[in-house]
Amino acid sequence: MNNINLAIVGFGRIGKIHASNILASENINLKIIIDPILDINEKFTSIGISQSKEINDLLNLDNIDGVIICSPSQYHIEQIKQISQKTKNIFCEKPLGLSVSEIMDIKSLVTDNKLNLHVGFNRRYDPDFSSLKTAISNGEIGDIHTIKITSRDPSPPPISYIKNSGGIFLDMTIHDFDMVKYLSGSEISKIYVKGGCFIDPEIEKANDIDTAIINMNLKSGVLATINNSRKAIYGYDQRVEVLGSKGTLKVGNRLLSGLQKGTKNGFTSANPKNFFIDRYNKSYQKEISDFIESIKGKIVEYANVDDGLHALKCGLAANKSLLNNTPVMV
Amino acid sequence: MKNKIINVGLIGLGRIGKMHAKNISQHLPFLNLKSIVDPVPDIDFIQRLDGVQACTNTDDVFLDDTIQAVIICSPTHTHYELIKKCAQHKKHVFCEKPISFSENEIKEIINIMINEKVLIQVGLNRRFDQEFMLVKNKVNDGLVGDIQMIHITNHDASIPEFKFLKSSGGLLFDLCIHDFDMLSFITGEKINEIYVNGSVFIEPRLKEINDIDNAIITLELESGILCTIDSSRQTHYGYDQRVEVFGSKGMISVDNKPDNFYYFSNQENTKRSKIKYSFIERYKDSYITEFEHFYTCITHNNKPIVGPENILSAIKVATAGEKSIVTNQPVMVKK
Repeated sequence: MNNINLAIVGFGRIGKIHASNILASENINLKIIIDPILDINEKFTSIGISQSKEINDLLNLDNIDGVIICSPSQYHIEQIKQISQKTKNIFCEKPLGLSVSEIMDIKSLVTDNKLNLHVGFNRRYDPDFSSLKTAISNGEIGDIHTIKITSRDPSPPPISYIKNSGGIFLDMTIHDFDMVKYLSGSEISKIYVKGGCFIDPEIEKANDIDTAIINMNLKSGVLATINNSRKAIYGYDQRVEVLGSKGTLKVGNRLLSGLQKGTKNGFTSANPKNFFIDRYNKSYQKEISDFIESIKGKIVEYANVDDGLHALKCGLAANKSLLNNTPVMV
Repeated sequence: MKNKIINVGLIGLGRIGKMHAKNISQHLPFLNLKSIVDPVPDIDFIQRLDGVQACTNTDDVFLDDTIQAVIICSPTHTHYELIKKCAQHKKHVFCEKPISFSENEIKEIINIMINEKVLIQVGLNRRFDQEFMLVKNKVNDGLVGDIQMIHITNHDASIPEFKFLKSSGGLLFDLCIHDFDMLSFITGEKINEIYVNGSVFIEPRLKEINDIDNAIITLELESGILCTIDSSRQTHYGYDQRVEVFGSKGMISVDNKPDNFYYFSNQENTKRSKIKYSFIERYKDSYITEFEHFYTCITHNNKPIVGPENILSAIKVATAGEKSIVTNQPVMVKK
């Protein structure tokens, strides 16, 4: 088979991660990088990667097999529409869109044009969480009853980011909503949220919260809870517990190191890995390699437009629940 | 100083009554268990305790002037009358939780005990657990800074018989009452609001009596601290009892105690024991410590650190929680 030619749209932090994973893959070419504020990087030029500020330069290329969209969220929908004229294989970072109606447009596009559209819910590709999913599916703890997710960032992003993030539920919790669906195989039907601003008053001024507890019902009858904080001083705290009719399954944190120390003062061990890029390193590799496999025609499981829509609807319901202090149907 | 020995009577020789009786005879030399009252006393058990009278009539305790304090472990619906009788006969009371499901009855008990000048301690034993006391002290010392969230896991190892479940008062009054009290114990705050998301997964007959066997509960404390209680009647792997206090300067967590520290690793995996299987094993020390406290309070005429006021607060939360289940809305807790 011929080499596969990929393009990246949006070359920020996450775009760079995807690029380095693509460059490390065999028989895969990164043909072009599009970014409106791109500084031409000679290193890329020297290995044959084109760089442009104009998406038209991508749309004018003939031999593109797949595109990875890592631009700011508000551009996703328009770019998917444009790029779908060029290729059926599109990988888009989360959130897919910021309103239900625009994702519904994309949903029709996917159906009508048979798009192979992957959404970047990378945590599905984390080895621990995919093992958890497999163990649940194998019935290792019987029927599942409750799911409990702890998801805390080590420190809040800059206020400028928060202002454009869509709020904590669309920015941060959206991963956890998707995790609930991924693990349970069921959509969330009802959400009750309690939240507050404990960390930085600037976040409150930006009309957002930094701490939240989410209490959910799933269509399957399962109960679930998520707790979020923008600032866990000890690191990036990412844990999941599932309780079922025959027992429990848990995923704990990945630690910075395996070193433990014991002295007259007691024992110490390392804190969790401090950053999502370190913690979920493998998941970013796997989501792109699965995307590439799907371009080659292999059938892979992936987060699709329905998953993107589900997570967005959950985030919007959560916003409404917070506002009205009442449970909200998704 | 010579320690004074106090004679006590015990009413209700069920699972917890037997545990208290054994603890007193084995670990609490300053308490002398004189009489045990039960409608059908387990004579074999009582004989093994050596020197304890088996009685079937509560008057055998109330009319015994040498008995200074009564330990009430009978079913909840009998507590109120028994406590009143104790007060009438000037006997100090240790009563298992919850002393009543009725707020008015609890309020009445509070007044009676004050008027009759007798002490009452309530069996919210977890306040005497070493780990939880440590959590409270460290929180008070400011170790986690300002508290932002508290998460409590409270799972039974195996679901009790349906007969017990029917008389238990329900998941919130029976199991979660400890957790409501724990939140107040750790923070010194009252609970403001409760939302209960519950379901029946394990015992379908619970639906007939409007009870649940699993719940995820969201709570807000007076100062705005956000909390969850995650409760289940059955884990199979043991009695899952964890607390996590998350604050601006760090997190304190209390994990489960394993049955033992034996590990076995082979090419397949590493195995370790279940965790302690019941409250009797997990909270063993706290059941002794709470009686040491009770003894000290009687001899020094101090008010016990945990009494009907604390149960009253917890009952109010459970009552609001029941309402939340019915209305499927968050409910403010009565002040």
